[in-house]
Amino acid sequence: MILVLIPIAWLVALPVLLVPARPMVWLALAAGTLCATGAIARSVALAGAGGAGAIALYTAAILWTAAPPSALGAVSLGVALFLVLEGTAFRRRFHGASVRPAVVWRQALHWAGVVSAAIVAIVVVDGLSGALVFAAPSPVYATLAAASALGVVVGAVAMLTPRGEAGPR
Amino acid sequence: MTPRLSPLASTMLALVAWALWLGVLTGRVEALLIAVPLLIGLVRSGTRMAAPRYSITHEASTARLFEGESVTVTVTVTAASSLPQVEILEPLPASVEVVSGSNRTVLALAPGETARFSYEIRVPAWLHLTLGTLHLRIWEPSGLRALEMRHHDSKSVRVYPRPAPLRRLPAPLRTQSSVGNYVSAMVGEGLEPGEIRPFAPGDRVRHVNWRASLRLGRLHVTRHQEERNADVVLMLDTLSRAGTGTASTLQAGVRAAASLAGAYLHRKDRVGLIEYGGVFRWVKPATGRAQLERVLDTLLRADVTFTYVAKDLGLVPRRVLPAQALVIAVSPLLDARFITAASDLAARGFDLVVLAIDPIPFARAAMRSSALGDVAARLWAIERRLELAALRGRGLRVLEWDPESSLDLALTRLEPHRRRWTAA
Repeated sequence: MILVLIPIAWLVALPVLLVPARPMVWLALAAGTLCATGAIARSVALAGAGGAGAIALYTAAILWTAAPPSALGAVSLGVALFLVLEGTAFRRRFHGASVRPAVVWRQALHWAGVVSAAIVAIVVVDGLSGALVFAAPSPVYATLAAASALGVVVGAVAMLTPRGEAGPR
Repeated sequence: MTPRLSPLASTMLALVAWALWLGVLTGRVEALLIAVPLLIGLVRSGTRMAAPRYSITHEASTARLFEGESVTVTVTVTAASSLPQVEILEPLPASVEVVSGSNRTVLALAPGETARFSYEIRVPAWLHLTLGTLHLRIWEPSGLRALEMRHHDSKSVRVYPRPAPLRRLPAPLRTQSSVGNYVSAMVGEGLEPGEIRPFAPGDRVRHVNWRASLRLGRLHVTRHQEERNADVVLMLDTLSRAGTGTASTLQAGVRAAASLAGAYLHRKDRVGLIEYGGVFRWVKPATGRAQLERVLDTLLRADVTFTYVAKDLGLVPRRVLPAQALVIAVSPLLDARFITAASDLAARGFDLVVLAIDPIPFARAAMRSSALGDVAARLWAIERRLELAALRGRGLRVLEWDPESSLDLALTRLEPHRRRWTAA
């Protein structure tokens, strides 16, 4: 549980550190509460909703401050979000079961592997990001935005579609 | 083997798309970078899940036990390929209680590794339990996908009703030819002194009654009455039931039948069983421990099956329902067909005792408490008392039993009305 609550604290703190204004504090706290509720209630959808709010707040904060691009903040937010979702899903799927220590150990190793891979990938992507995004012509922007929006809709629909009891929780 | 995507995959996909969309909308690269750890997680699970190779065994510590006792289940998994997270669940009926361990365990196994887990279950009420259906979910470490499998290794565990100790039992009017615990009217070898008669050639000297011989001036011998066993047939009513689940007249009836069977078999009597209901089953009278198991096995299958048909006891073979048997009918007396069948038996000269299970407490427990319900229960009790009085008036020996009190106590009420023995 602590492993999930620490990243949630970071999801709340990061936008507030960038814009220490009262509305931002309240909005960040709301997103964090949603995440924490999801983590406590073992609801991946709720934790995901809180995470979506945290991403939006962070994006709004960096737009507000017009700060130069910083990979460090984005990496830490992405990693925190990943840990919140994975931790919540882990608690949910094995709730009530007797979990052997080896399972927890292997899971921690898996998370460490993904986080390490993400850091390496971001170092590479950070170097190429300017060329990939800012040099692209405007029709590519529109296509990418439309595809992303479609992805949001498809993901949200799939997330809300009820599953049979036999499906994994 | 069914592969499934978990809701985590959809949530991650939605967040990735959301971050990409915000990044493109705002023109900030940071929003895109947020999605990278999530994307890596998704990409890692995008690879094809290899079919797991493993073997699994399931063992139960015992196949027969009495209600309230425990059975230990051991599951052993040997992995031939890597199983990073294997969740094993054995579904259990709601009435079964897990005492120690867990019937849902998550293991991590390297190739060639063997893991074993055990759990102990306690079955509070009698039932025929089928164990050995294991549901397996083999998860990716990411939790995004799982393979679902089912493993069948059916094991039958019979949880018998625990026979209650009974000190007093309805004594049979007639005895049989085998040695037993009842003093019969037959004169021969036995412990109970019977009659004294003049000595005749062939009489054993140790049977000479010296005191009578001296007083009467010639040799007299003491004859003894033989100890014989009896045939007891338990007739269980499965035409109707009051109450639900483990609190029903059927449950009480089965427990009573098991207790009576155990007690009579302990006295060396031959005990048989007739399940009188939608399904007509019987067990031929016999003695011994094996017979108790046969009776208990049949009782385990006892259930109320609805039928319009009234079964004719005349169809029951004579060897199952011997003419001189003591018949103990165990019934809540809710179905007129059973009352008719019992009356017919009594009319045919069978030595019959009806153990009438009081259905009112079970019906009250199944209903919501209300003033109207209390009035209805009182009226029902009055009506039932009249019905039982009418049955007694027709010559049936009816013994009322409220299952909240002990059966032993209820059986003592019958004793004064019965003769100890009659001529065979």
